[in-house]
This record gives sequence, structure tokens and C-alpha cells, in this order.
Amino acid sequence: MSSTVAHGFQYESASYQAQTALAGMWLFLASEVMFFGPIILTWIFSRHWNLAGFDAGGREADLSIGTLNTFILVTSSCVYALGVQFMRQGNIRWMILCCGATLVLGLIFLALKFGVEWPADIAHHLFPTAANFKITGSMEGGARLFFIFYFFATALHGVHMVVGIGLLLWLIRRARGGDFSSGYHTPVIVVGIYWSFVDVVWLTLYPLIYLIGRAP
Amino acid sequence: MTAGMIRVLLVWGLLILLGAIEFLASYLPIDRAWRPLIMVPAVMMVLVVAIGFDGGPKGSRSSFARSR
Repeated sequence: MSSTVAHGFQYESASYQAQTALAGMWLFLASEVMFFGPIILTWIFSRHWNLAGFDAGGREADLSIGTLNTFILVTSSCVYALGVQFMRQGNIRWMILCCGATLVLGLIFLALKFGVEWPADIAHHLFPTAANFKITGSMEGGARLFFIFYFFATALHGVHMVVGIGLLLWLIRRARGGDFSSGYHTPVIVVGIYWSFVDVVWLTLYPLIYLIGRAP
Repeated sequence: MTAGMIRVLLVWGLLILLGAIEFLASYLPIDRAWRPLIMVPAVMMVLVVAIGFDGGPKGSRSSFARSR
């Protein structure tokens, strides 16, 4: 099959080019783990020293939107993985449909997070630099720290989602142009790994934001 | 429906199940200092995503092997 697939001059074959692309994505994701990992560990460490403040902040987070967004993102990864399966069968039409559905689910996630949840948080005086911050007293410092982490981490995650949506649009355009087949679909797999990583980051943020502080 | 598609749907079901366990665990009367344990199902979900949808790096490599 490699004889029919174009590859860069620096690669011996299309297969080597594909493996290089895969290795590049895993290397990139390793750097992303080093980026998100310290943020998450610092979050857990800071909570340890500000238990009451972090829990007060966690109780103010919108659990229903957070849970719905978790369901949406998990489902989007599943739909994308189905698209990869269709691609392996050479079913381009269904692969494009799956990419489109993943894209729509990603947009719904972003709309809920940044169009509904963030504005509500800001309206409820939960932005960490707000002069009239909602949580006062001994818990104020810890709660402000919680919302610094909350806004910073969700914004970073949102930027990664936007990049992922851009990649999905690029994939759909290339697929419609007939660039992929059951024999060559490396970009579909590589973008799938990236999208799963975005999912994984959210799966880590979800309990930190919405669940851990919600003590009965 | 292929075996790969069935696996993807099973992985999705497992993720929803783990998410539900995590959600319900947050309502248990666990001491504040121990509540990060609620993240255990989340860690399991991360592993399931990493190895479930595409069979992990091995799955991706086998896909490329087919393209040789």
C-alpha cells in the first residue's frame, strides 16, 4: 500500500512517516503532561493547606454543567473513535460524519463552559480578583485561590479544545478532498490521540473542580 | 458492526459507569483530607481512554502496519 501513498523525501516509506507522526504526537503530549501535571499537583497541594476555602469554592461551582460537559466530552471521544473504525473500513462518509459530530459536541462543551458557566460565575462575584468576592471571612483566601486555579485551568483546557476543533475542521476538509483511505489515514489517528488527551485533562479537572469540595 | 466498534461502545459504557461511581462517591461522608480519593475513578477513566479507544500506542502501530 505504501507505494500508492506519497511520503516526504526524508522518509524511507509512508509507514516510517506515519510512525514519525505518531511518535511526534506522543512526544508533544508528554510535554503537555509536564505542563498540566504541575498545575494539577499544585492544585492538590494548595487544597491540602486551604481545605475549608477550597471546599467553599468547590460548592459554588456548577455541578450540573460540569457533569453534563464530562458526559459530552467522553461521548465526543467515543464518536471520534467510531470514526477511526469507519476510516479503517474505508468508509469516508461516516468518518466525516463522526468528525462533524465530535466537532459539534466540542462546540457545545465550549458554549456551556464559556457562554453559560463562566458568565454565571463572574455574575456571582466568584472571579478571584473581584472586589466584592462572594465568599468572605476565614475561607476567602482559599476560595480565591481555588477560583484562580479554576479559571486558569479551564481557560487552558478551552484553548486546547479550540485547537482540537481547528484540527477537526482541517481533517474534514482533507477527507472531503479525498486525501484519506483505509490504507492512509495517519492524521485521523494522530488527531484522535490529541482529542483523547483533551478528554483526559478534563477527566482530571472535573473531580478537582466539582466533586472533591462537595462534602455532604 | 465490527469488533472494533463494539469495543469502542463498551469503552464508552465503562467510562460512563466509572463517571457515575465517581459522582456518587462525592456524596459519601469522607473526611475532607481524604476526599482526593474520589479521583481514583478519574484515574481509571484516564487509563481506559488511553488504552481503550484505539488500543493505545500498540493499536495505532498496528494500524500503520496495515498501511505498509
